[in-house]
Amino acid sequence: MHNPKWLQITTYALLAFWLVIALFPLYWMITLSFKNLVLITTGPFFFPWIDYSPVTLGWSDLFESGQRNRFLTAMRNSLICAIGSGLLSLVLGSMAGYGLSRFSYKVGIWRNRDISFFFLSQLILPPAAVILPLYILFVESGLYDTLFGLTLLYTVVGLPIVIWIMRDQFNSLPVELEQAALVDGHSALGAFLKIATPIAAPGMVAAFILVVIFSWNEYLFSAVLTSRTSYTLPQLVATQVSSQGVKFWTMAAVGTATVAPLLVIAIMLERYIVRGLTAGAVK
Amino acid sequence: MENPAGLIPAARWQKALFVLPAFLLTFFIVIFPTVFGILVSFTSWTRTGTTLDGPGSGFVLFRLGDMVRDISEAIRSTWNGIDNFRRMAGDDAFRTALKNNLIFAFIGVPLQYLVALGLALLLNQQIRARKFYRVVFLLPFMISPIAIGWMIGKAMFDARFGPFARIARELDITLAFYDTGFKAVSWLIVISAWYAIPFVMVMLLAGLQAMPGEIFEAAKIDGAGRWRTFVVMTFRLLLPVSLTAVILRIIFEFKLIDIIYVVTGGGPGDASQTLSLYIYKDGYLSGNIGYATALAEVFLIFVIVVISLLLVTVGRKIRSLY
Amino acid sequence: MGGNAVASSFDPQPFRRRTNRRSIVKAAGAAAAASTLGLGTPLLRRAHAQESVKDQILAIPGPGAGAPSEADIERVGELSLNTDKQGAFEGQTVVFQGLSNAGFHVNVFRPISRAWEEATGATIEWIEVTQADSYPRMSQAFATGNVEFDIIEGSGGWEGEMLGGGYCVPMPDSVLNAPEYDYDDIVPYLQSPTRTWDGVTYGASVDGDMHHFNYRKDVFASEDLAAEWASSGGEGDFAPPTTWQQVQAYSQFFQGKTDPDGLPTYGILDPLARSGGVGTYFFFSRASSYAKHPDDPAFFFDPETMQSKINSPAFVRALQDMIDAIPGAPPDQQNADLLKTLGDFLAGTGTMAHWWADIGANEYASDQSVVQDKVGFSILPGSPDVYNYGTGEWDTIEGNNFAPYLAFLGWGLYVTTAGEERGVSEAAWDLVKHLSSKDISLWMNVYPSGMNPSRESHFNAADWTAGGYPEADAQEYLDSIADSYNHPNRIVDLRIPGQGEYWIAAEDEWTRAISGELSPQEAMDNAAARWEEITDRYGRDAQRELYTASL
Repeated sequence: MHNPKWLQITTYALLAFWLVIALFPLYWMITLSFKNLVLITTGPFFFPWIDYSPVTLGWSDLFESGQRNRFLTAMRNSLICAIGSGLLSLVLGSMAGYGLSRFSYKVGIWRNRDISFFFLSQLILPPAAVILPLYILFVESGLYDTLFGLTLLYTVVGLPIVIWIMRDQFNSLPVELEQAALVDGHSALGAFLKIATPIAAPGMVAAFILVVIFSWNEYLFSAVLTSRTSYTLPQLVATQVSSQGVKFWTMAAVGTATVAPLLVIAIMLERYIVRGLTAGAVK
Repeated sequence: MENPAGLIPAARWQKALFVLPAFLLTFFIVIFPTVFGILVSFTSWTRTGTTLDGPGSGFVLFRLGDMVRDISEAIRSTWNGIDNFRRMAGDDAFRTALKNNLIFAFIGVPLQYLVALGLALLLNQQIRARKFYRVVFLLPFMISPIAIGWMIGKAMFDARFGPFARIARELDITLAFYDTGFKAVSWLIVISAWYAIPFVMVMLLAGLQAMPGEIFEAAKIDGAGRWRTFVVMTFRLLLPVSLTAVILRIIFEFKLIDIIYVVTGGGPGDASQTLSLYIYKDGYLSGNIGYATALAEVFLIFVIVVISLLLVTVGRKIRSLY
Repeated sequence: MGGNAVASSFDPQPFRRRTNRRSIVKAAGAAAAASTLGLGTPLLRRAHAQESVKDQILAIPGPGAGAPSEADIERVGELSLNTDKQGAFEGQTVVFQGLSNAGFHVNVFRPISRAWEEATGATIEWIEVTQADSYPRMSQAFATGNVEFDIIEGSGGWEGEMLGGGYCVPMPDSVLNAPEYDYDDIVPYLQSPTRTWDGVTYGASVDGDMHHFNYRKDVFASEDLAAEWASSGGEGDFAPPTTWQQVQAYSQFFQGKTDPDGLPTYGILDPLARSGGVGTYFFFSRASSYAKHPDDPAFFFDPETMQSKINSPAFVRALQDMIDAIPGAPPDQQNADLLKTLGDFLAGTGTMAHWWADIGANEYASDQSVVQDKVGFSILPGSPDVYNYGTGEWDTIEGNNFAPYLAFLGWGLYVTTAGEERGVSEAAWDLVKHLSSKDISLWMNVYPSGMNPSRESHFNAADWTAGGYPEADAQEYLDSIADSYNHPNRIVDLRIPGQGEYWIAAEDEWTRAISGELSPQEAMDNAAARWEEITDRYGRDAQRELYTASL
């Protein structure tokens, strides 16, 4: 396409404008991690080495104090929960999505649509509404303060999105290949694994990333359902607060360290997110 | 594409194998809160008034059995009929929260959509360093809402020490971000939009990329103007994915809690409180379990009604959400 | 979950050991080293008989060295460790629930306990909670029987639930009579009634609490501002206020003025945002001298009927004061919680603040403060008139009515019955003894830890110079605290069951008046109605009995 000059200029101007909007808060977070209370409250200062001399208080607080252990544990817990729930919901959700796309169900009065709606309705459920019964359930069933319990919960929360993406993904794939596979003597499961999944890979990556992002950043469930061993990174952010003030510098350091792994994922897999969501996007 | 459901023949057990694991896991996690919610909303259960025995020992099923017995006893002893719902009718905080939820959903989300649409169109142009922009624009969605609340809501929008305070000081203006309910809600909408726009943007971008390029070429040959091309072709073709994105965002916006909890705590007073936050504060912080659960049930019904209405009215046009 | 196996591979043991060794070499030499290596040298203090442990630890890190580092705090714990339980708790795990770090509380307890862990062989697991979360989390644990913690850092105000509910075990004589705990040294109101239930001592005080008044000495010494005050028709000399009426007048006056440093002046800092009920303490200190009549011991309830008094004209007037002070406060004060307020005051924003003793504790010793040498202290402001609940009249008091508010009653350490059932109560009490011992307690007061004076021995101003505090300033600071503790018209905070619930209910309502949703009277009427509900739920007679007994 050949855009006229004025449109190109406007395009780049708008892109630059949004670049500032998207990046400035992140920049502010990073500068905060190199400040202390005096630098924050006598400021605002914008440019390290130009209008203030940065201090590494936040980072040393994170990596050289008793918090180091806590930070590493939280990082490990977040990794396990996020990747665990991402994989688990991907496996369960792809299978369910495939089933709903390829088979016709009839269980009592429930048909495909009703089963789909059952999964979707879990998306609607506000966490605040279920937090207390979940606490009791987790305590009684031994899931409280375990990574296993948290991973299961995040899987359930992530499932609706995965099923929705994957069903669209399979709907947009030609069914003939799988039919051929069945004729060749494969089972339905075999057709799913050998034929359908490889083609649906972009959707799977997109779904996986969305669940990982959600689980990585989730706070409420983690705050109520874990205590001494299974806390995750967002809790570490939230507990930089005490009776003596808010440690913005350490909080900013935790925040920055928390975004970093996702940034790597974003750079590596960004194109799959868009590609994975295209299936079924236009009728 | 036609829905290919039923095109693959399979035995009953094979079909079940695909859906059952996801169904059972969801069912196991959700069934107890659902039943608990329905029953407890008719009680005056308070945390300090009714205590449970705590984790028992032995096989997990026995423990769960004990739990069910404990809870049934608690429900029986605190049953108060529809008192909670009667109280809700006169509860100003409930009404404010409901109103705020509607504002966040029906003013906040369209705003997010408009900006996201603009960004998606920009990113769909032939631009240099497209990958860079796409990654950077996605970044806000990757930050934990709790960190966003503290870093943006508290630290950046600080009336004395934030970056805007400096500019305001130069201009001799006194800044305040959250001193009235209107301002608090407005800024919360801005913060949550900053976080949510990338998600909508990605979905719209996917929609744009899925569009067949010939449509635009055909429009050009026809001599149609750019604006007409956009409105007629793009917007109409993008409608399904747009509505899907908007409905998903409305669902998430209804559940919005962490950002508000951190930034204003629902204040000043109740002015920026949402139902999720009200339920959390009344149930978890204050321990009014019965009333908070009743609130949660009403909230749930309300959300389901709103979402169903949306699905019924625009459901035909949208990308198959269910 | 096999989480533990993975955890250990992440556990930076080498790092920790190295820190210890370095600190040991710096600190004490062979004896200390031997004890860390588990060779069983029992009492470190013997090796340093020539210099008292107190003097040694108070010199860590010393004036001008900034906030103590992790290694510094470990050294303090190491030097003051005095346990005869060498290796006695091998393999036991003690779970401690306390306030999350931010440099204080658990972040101080943790390194201070490290030497104890190494000596006794026990492991401590920490549950860190934020202050706004601390009460609900405890309450929820009790309500669902999920008491994971063996030791809880709790407020004296929660004792109705913790002790009255039977969730904690009495303090054993081995701690009560231990010389290093030195029970008799603890200030009287923290010996009893606080930390006790039915005459039995349960909790070990690590902290003492009251709200006192902090003001900017430099602002009130400014001649320019004094001249402006006189020319604007201000009543009386331009001097630190002693009544709430003066506080209000100054808050009005400071609008648009600048302080000696050229920064804008603001009036009093009231934390006006909700913070899980904690804001109510500030509301009550605003109401203290309006509502606490010298002839009436009861502040919160009518002891006859257990009707709450909080919708009486005294409390409504205090709420109106808070609303009237908003224009003189920094922008967005409606969204400022107590933490923001503390940070603001230490950063030089605001001229007056009613707070716990933490402002003074941070003034010199924290490298985060810009108000060194600028803060003056007094007991909470008074009022020329006080509301008489019996007659419904405002009585005029000669020389003003003062009523210092012992808000929160200090953090204490309590051992739970659940911990006893798990068989770790002996270890738990030994740890409590370590953490609340006299020397460590003094050190935690002098350096920023979130702990405030709770022992008579904390009131020796000379000790405070070790942390960089000028003796005269320390004296003024300590006097205002001691005067609050010992005032004849003091308000001892509520400690009947449901205290946390009462506070949250009150905060829900008075903040609605701040935002203008309700008038102060409506707001306090609502709050009073909710207090009646809570009282009825716990049983009016039972509550009345406990409340009357506490007066």
